[in-house]
Amino acid sequence: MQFNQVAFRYRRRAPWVLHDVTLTVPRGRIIEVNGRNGAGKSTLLRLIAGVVPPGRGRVAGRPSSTGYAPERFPAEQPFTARAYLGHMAAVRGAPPSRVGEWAERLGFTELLDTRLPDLSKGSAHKAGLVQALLAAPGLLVFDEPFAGLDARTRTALPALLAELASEGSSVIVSDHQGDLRELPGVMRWQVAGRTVTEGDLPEEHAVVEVVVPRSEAEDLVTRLKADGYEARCR
Amino acid sequence: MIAAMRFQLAGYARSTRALHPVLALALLLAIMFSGPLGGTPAQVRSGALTTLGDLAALTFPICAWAARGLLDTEPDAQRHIGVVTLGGWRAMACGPITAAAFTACLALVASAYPLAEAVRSGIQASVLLPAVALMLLSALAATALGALTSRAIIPSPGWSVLVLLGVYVVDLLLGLGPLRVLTVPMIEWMGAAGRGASTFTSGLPWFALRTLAWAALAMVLYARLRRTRP
Repeated sequence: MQFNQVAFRYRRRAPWVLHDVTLTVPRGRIIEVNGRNGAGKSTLLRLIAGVVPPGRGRVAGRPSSTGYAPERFPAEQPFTARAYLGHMAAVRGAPPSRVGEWAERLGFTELLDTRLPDLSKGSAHKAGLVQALLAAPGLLVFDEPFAGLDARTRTALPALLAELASEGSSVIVSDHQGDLRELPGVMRWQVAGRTVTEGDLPEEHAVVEVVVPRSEAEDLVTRLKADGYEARCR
Repeated sequence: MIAAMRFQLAGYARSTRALHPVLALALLLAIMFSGPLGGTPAQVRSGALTTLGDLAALTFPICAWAARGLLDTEPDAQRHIGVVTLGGWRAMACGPITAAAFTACLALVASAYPLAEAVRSGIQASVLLPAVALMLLSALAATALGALTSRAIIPSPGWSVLVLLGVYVVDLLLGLGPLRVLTVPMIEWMGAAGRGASTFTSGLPWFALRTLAWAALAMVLYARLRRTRP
């Protein structure tokens, strides 16, 4: 899937939220999207999922089956979780048994007969994840999937995403909390300054004050410099 | 697409939104049918036709309201999931088609009593069928107006209701003057139905064409606006 000089804004004459974004979404990889609040992460995910068309530029090669879990699951719907997910499985042409399988994996089985508006935020979020996973998607787009999840699911989710990626899905995840840090092979995209760059942002630097006898100061500065740190004696 | 339509209809039926237009329609029908359509069979035939013409115009805002309510039952984020799941065009068409099916049912329910009375009084099928077609065409145009005033297009509920009722009132007012060709010809079909079966039947193709053209233009506008308003 390719993004070619894509730009997007929500209204005509509004400032561009994203501008001149050229990207390749590789198959079978997990991509973690980072950036500060309001940088345009959710907008980028909507463009990738196909919720919104680009204002300029071109998006090509989106897989035919895409799963999308928005940041806030729309829980204000008059269904039980089971009825809702049953409908979503039918819409996606997936067998109804998939609902039970994914609910089991995400620890959601006991809540399937709960009405959606009665679910807690984390449980509603799980319903959103299950609906996105129902049809073995070639592209999975999760907006803040770890937010509000219980510790068990939070620990299990990275491995589950890795499994989906190993089966060929492109998995794109926005994450504030660094839950994918331990997972090997995760690509990182930074959204900043209305564009997207691959790789981590340069790490922030901190100043550490070390008080030592004056006679040892020169020696310590020399050793720290040898270790690659910026050090000076005051 | 059928499964998505069933999902939307199920959500609408389970919400209280569906009750609003149904109650409004029940109230309208109770007022309109509080007395007999006529004494003699000839009066009933004439009364039934006049009533169907009036109903096609009076149910218009109720059907538009029902269509708007059906489309607005789906939360914004669920609509976004639908766009991803179904694809842009099918997701865009799914809601209005479901709403058109529902408003067609409302129109048929509304016309059931005068149709039954007309059949009992011996009215010809050649007059009845155009009257039913007119009810359905009116429901179709109303659905297009409901779609154009749904939350995806007009996020403010206050403005949305104002536009819906405003378009209906402006349509009726324009129907009285030289710009009537631009309208859903409600004033004209009410007048034709009141003047008798032959006037109504001969005018129907023109009424149908204009109503269809109005609905088509409204849906094209809706589709265009939805491209940037998922």
